[in-house]
Amino acid sequence: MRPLRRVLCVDDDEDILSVVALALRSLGGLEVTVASGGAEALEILKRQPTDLVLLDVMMPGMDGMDTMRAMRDNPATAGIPVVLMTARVQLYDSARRAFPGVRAVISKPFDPVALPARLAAIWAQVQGD
Amino acid sequence: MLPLASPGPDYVPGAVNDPAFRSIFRALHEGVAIFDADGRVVEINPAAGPLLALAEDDLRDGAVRPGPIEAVNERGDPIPEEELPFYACLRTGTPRTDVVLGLRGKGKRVRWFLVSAVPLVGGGTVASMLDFTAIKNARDEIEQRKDEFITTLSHEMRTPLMSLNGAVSLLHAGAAGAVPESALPLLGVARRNADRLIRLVNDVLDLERILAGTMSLSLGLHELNKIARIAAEAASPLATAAGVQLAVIPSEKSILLQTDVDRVQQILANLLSNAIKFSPRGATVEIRVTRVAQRGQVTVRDFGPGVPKHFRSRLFLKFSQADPGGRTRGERGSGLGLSISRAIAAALGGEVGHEEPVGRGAAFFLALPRERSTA
Repeated sequence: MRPLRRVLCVDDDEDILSVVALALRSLGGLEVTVASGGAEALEILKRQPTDLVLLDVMMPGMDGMDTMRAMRDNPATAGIPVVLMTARVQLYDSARRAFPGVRAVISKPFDPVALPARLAAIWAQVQGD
Repeated sequence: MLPLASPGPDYVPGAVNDPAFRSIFRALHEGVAIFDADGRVVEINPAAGPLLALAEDDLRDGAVRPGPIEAVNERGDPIPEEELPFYACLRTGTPRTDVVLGLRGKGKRVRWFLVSAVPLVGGGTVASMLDFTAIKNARDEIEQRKDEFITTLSHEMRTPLMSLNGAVSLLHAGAAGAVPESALPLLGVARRNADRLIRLVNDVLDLERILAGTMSLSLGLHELNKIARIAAEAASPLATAAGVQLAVIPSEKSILLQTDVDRVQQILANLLSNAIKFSPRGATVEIRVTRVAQRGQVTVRDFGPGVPKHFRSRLFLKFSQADPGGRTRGERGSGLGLSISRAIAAALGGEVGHEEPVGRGAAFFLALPRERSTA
């Protein structure tokens, strides 16, 4: 099984981005790229190989749902697993139906210290499927 | 002298005939009606008109029995006519004070009255009724705005709180390099308090979701003794840390429920954590499972100081804590636990309540409807 290596974090809140990125880099040893919105995330996905996307749902402009829609419609990104970060966990079922790439929802607020292990577990499951 | 001291069976309609008294009687904002011993209205002032659907003119030819009155209490349940304060007072001869009556008008709008009735010497009763619809509507609106404000504020606080808590928690975990030994206690303080704020915010939003009816339930068939045992196991680390024993007393027969087991566990976790918090070291907390008529019940009883009498009426109000000074051990709660438990129980068709225990301590119960096929 290939270990999780490259993660793209998308959130419009800079502080959340830096906390999440620090946790994943420093505690999880991952390569982390950050994007502050959906459009920027899609640009990054075009030019940079990515294992997993950690995606905020509520963002101004292109939100998480729009971003997943665009990912789904592009064969190059349709297969990348997505983990949603949201305060509204009840979104999971509807998101899962609309976007098969959604693998989990992490409920905000969450403890970033536990995040690397959480993503590793989700990744293991993705590899197993 | 008041001419209406004893209307009794011999009361003559129109006896409120002292001119000065009559003017006062008519000018009152508070509605007043006098009933004879047969429940007929013998005197009425204009302000009493809306509730009894009678006017002074209707009494010109003698006493009149009001038409049917369809009233509701504050929860919207209908009040049987014989329980209306004036009739109840006539029937029992005892006063009824400050009964809240809602009267549904034609336009579906409810008017609210505060009604009292006292017996008169020689028979009959005098009833007073204050229309407080405007006050109640204003109060309800303020209450609703307050709730909306708290919800909005809580939503807005979530993201910054997460950054704050996340940053502190990463520092503490050494994600930014080693932290000097002397700084660790301070980081601990910051973490604990950020955690507490997050719990509070989550509780507020949880409660709001339950009350709005947007909480999703996942129902399944479960056995109550098993639920209670699992709840006790889950609470045992907390109990051990507090030096408290947990004793589960199962029911003789099994009790099946069609319910959302995670939500039931949430309620029991709250009741148990309260009981442990208020227990002295070395004491026992009893978790008793019983069948009560059509319901299955879990009663959590502690042997602590009990709920102070003055606090009992506020037990289930939001943000109320019997011990705001925090003399209890452990984490301070949000004051929302019991409100949340009660709201969840109601959503599950059940009830959470406080029971007067025999002897020392406090007892709270969770009662849920039993699965019918297993009666």
